[in-house]
Amino acid sequence: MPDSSFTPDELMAVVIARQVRDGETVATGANSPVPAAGCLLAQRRHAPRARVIILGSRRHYPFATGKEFFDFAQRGRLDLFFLGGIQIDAQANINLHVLGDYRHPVRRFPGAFGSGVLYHVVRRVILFRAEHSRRVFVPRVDFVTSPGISPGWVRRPGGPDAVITPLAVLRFNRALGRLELASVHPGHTVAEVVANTGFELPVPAEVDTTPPPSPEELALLRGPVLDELADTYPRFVARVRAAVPS
Amino acid sequence: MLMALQAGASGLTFTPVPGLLGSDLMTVRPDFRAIPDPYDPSVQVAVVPAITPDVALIHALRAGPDGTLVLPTGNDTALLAQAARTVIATVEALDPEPITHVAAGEQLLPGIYVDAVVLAPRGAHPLGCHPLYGDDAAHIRRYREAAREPAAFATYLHAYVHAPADHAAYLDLLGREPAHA
Repeated sequence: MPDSSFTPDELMAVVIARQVRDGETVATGANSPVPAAGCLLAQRRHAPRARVIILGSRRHYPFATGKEFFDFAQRGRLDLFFLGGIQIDAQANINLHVLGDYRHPVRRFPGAFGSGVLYHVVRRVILFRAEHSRRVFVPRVDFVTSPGISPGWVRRPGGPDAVITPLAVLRFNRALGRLELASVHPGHTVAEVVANTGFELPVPAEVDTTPPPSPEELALLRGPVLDELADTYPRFVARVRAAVPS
Repeated sequence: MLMALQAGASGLTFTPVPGLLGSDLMTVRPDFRAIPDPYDPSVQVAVVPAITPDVALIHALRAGPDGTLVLPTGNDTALLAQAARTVIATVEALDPEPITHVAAGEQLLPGIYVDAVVLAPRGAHPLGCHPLYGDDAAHIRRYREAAREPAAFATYLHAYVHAPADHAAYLDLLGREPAHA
């Protein structure tokens, strides 16, 4: 049984927060309220010297233009960024463009929004998805918006680090160039993660259970973090507040 | 795209772009190429053609007498204008005094880039114009639904684009719609 003292949104935000290291410069992209909440939580908890950039925010966006942000990232100044993925495969290739054939898609999505660049230049990129299923985690993405790994003749200082879902954390093994299971969230099982992953997922002999959100983490998240985020993501903040278990 | 616009604004015909290599974008866009880095031929680099729009249609908070525009920050409207051959700006207001400085949250586009200014309050609709008004999410949803079917889209176009006689009529039409949260 999943633990009922927190919601999947809250768990993902807390797990994301723990990935942020003190002193890092981290950024979250368009339509990414869960990573934004996670970064602000990290800043209030264990990473007070982290600098947090939130695209779409006025308060947490220091640049005058979008191009300044990309120049900043391309210059190698971003330590951590978060991307989604309509589809994600074992090699951490991500698809943000289409389902089906590119010329005759079953469904067209907004597109890369710079991920073709950011996935290469940001030191660590964490993928997040609120759905852990076989239609998301596929053997091979229909369209490679940006590849997980690159050959030696490509200048690539950054790349994937981990994938965070409501069920588990998958870690990107750079030496092997593929995703493997790192930890399973409380209330879920290895078998459940494997069954909902459409590619072969290496499972270590001993799989950690993700430590559940602590009362301190939940209190910070539900209080000051949501307050700070309300200007930028009012609907998300309302949804999380409405779902807080009593 | 921002790199391509910057190349256009800088008078270059193409620009290198970090990343991109290994993306299927390189396949579906044959004009995106991989070339050896001239300064380190052991690595390849993606290059894309510059973007130089014939016309840029942009929206600003206000315009001074010489066409100088005040834009909200947080976007690349100024870069788009600098890359374009002709720039037509709609504005929320006309300022009778020359614009010499801007407040926090605003950026300037010198009038030398601007060919025409049109007074059109709420002219960014259904998008927002910070800080005056936000996105009209209900209208954007209506547009998205209509865009699924040619017939529904034709109805939308007739109602919001062709039927209103002018901008004032469009604003009247919006004013008569039920308010959405």
